[in-house]
Amino acid sequence: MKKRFKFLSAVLALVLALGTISGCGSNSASGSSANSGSSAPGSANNVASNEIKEIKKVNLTIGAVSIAPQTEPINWNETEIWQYILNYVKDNYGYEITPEWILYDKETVNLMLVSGELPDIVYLSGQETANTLVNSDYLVNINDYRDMAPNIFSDTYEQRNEVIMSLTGNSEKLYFLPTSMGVENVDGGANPGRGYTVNWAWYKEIGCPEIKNDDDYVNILTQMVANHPTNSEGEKVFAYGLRGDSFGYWFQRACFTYPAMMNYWTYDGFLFMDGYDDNVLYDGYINTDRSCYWQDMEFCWKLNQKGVFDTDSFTQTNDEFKAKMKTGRYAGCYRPVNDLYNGQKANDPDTLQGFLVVPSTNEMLFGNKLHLAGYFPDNYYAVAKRDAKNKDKEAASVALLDAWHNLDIQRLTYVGFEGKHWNYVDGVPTMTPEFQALRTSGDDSLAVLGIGVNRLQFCQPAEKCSDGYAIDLAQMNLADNLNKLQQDYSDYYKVSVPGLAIKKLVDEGKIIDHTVNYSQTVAIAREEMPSDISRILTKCNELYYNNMSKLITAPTWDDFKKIQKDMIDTVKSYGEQEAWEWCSKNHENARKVIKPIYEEYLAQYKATKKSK
Amino acid sequence: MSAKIKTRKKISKYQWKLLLLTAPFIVYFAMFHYVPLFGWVISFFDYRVGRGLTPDKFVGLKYFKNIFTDRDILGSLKNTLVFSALNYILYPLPMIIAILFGEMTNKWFRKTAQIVTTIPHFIGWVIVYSLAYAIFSSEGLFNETMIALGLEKRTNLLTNLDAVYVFQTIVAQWKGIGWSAIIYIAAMAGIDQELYEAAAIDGAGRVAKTMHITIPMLMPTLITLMIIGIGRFINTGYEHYLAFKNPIVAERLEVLDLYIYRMGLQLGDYSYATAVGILKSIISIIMVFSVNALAKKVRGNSVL
Repeated sequence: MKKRFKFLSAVLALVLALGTISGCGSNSASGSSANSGSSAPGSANNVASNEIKEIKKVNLTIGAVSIAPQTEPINWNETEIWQYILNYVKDNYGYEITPEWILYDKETVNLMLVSGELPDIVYLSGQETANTLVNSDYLVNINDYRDMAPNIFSDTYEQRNEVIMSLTGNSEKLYFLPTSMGVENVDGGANPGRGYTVNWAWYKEIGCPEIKNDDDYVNILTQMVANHPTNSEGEKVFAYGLRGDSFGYWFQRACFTYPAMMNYWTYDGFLFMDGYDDNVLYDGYINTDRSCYWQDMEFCWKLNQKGVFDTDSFTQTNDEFKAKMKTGRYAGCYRPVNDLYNGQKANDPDTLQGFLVVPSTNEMLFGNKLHLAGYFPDNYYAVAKRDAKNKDKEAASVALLDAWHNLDIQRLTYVGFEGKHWNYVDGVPTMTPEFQALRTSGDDSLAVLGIGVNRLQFCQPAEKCSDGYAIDLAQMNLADNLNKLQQDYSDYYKVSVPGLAIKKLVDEGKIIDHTVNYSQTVAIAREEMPSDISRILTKCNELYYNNMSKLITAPTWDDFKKIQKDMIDTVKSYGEQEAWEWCSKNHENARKVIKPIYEEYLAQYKATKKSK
Repeated sequence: MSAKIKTRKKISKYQWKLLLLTAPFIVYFAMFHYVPLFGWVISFFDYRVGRGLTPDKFVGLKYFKNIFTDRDILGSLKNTLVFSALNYILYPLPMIIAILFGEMTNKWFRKTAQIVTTIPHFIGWVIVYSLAYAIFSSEGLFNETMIALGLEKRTNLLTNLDAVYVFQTIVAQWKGIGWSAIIYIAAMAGIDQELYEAAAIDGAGRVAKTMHITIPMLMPTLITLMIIGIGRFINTGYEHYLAFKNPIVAERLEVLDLYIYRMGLQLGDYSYATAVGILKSIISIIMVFSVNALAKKVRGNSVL
């Protein structure tokens, strides 16, 4: 018995030792010859494949914040496009990468920043995080890998890199690779993303009355609820609802309508926001005349007075909120999300129930936004620094990101493979009718291919590919790529695509579009907020979050105003004015730096547009 | 003299074995409970991630002073004390449940009841919240049942500010009672059965046996757990309160642990969050020693 025990112990010890040795081994090792599964696409900048003498195997962890990696209908790692990119990296850079996606949230990111244990490639969000990373020693200067990253350092991304480097890396260091560079939602596109949002079928039913302000919107939503007190399942319908677990949703709607018209993303969720029309910072805590928070509180209070506000909004989570949208329980929404249309389409393919933004002189056109530095500081990639023994990891990470930057690979993420999903017809890249039908249907098949994952898209869809045509071929003729809901809307307003119904108002000088605002770029040049200031603002946000229900359910307008006054007095006692002084000064300093850069870029953009 | 040395040698060998057995636990506590205490140093610095603790970042007691001017701390402390007190009052509840389990004569029923009451301990707070939402929201099972029974007005317990302390305590008890009862069930198994037999001969019924044998025999366990519990009195955890937080009841669900979590992990204000955490630890230590001293005075012996 004892002997057997000893033998077993020895075997277990051996297994453990072998396991430890293999676990501690280097991640890179010479492997077999390259798989020729991928040929270099198009005429893009490729690292010459004949220079690849050996294939190194590297395990990489890729961390993504907030956005879950695709798991349905299949895991993103298994999609055809992802596999193609991996083969491409193997053939052109000599790295056989085994990637592991890790999903994390803001808290996990903060923990990782404290410990310094970042994944090899990080996909992050937020100006504060970017500032922290720049001031720490955690990131690879991608400039050091310039020779092996021809795509990242190509002309296409030159301006983006320059802006990022000059404002975050002392003109020498490139730490961040933001996504979505270029002009977003040209002329509003097929789905203008912000403004007065309605259930289109119900809105059309009442004759599409004009919405001149929030009061009109309240009345119209109330009328729609009166016409449809219950949904098809007999459940009560409300004019409007939100989710209770996230403060930001409660003032997002008003950001894109007057009188607020403020940039929601200015200070990472604090109510100091700059005006979309003048780029000036406003104090959304105490300036009740121009505050998205106070405007939305008043809007919800008015709806509640009419008995059409969903008071379960204070407690429901995102899942419950989405389920209600899907089943048609809201007449309006904070923005035109797809849940209603997708939910209703499942029962009726010809449904016109779906959220869309309708033209109004009180909103802005959510389009023509110039992303000088992509979505920075909202969404960006970076490579974590490794010790000298792991240089292969750094190099493989840069190789993977460089491959992603290849414009032809960028097109893959929008429209799939040449010869399969699109072809050159008379020299013009054209989607096949089958693929076009698939795209407008919003079918799961797109996700199976790996198409439409925006975190992989470094360029806006309208940016030009190596053949001179838009990366997303649908941009070349949006009118042919509308779903039934968008088609009906366009027919009603006699335009080719929904965005143009609102663009008309821009052309007439009645509303603005995004070109006048450069706040996202201002954020890059701002200083890091001191913890004393952020603590004050956090307390202010907490107070404003905790009092939302009191405000919205206040019995009378006088009660509302009284609560409002108490809240403002309280935040002043927290030191809100001290925070305001710091933030407004900081914002103004950054704005002075950014304004000439942005205006130069805008002039270039307008000149290019005019010449076309 | 030589006999003494011999004895000491024997004891030392025995102690060595015991020490070996306890070594993993000593290492565990050192690694995860004592080494992290060095992290307290960041409360004296204006700590920023990735930039180390340089002398120019030394701020002394600044963050500790801030605590005393932070009105939110007082609110959080009040909520913490209320929740802890309510749960502390209900400390004997698992013991009562254990006694009731012991009185069940049907073995199958007793086992099932034990399992059913223990399972909630393993359910995460987010799931518990989803269950609570499904039952207590204005369109939940509770309201639908009440409406079906003829009640006209819907009520939402999740947003009832007046009921928040009691409601959340009930939820916490529901989740933990079966698990907490296990230690009492184990203690009951250790009670000498001859005591019950002797009591039966003396004519004692089930109630008398419980009152005069079971409860007195379980009291040392209860008191020990209560003294240990004092150490955790203001350590309520934050997951429960974070899951149930909504704009209406937020001001009463903000406990100290949640406050520290928000300031530290969400806001990244690690120095201040650490300072609050240190203060919380000091209060806990004072409470444990006070109660231990009190127990020693009343009962003549102490736990520590």
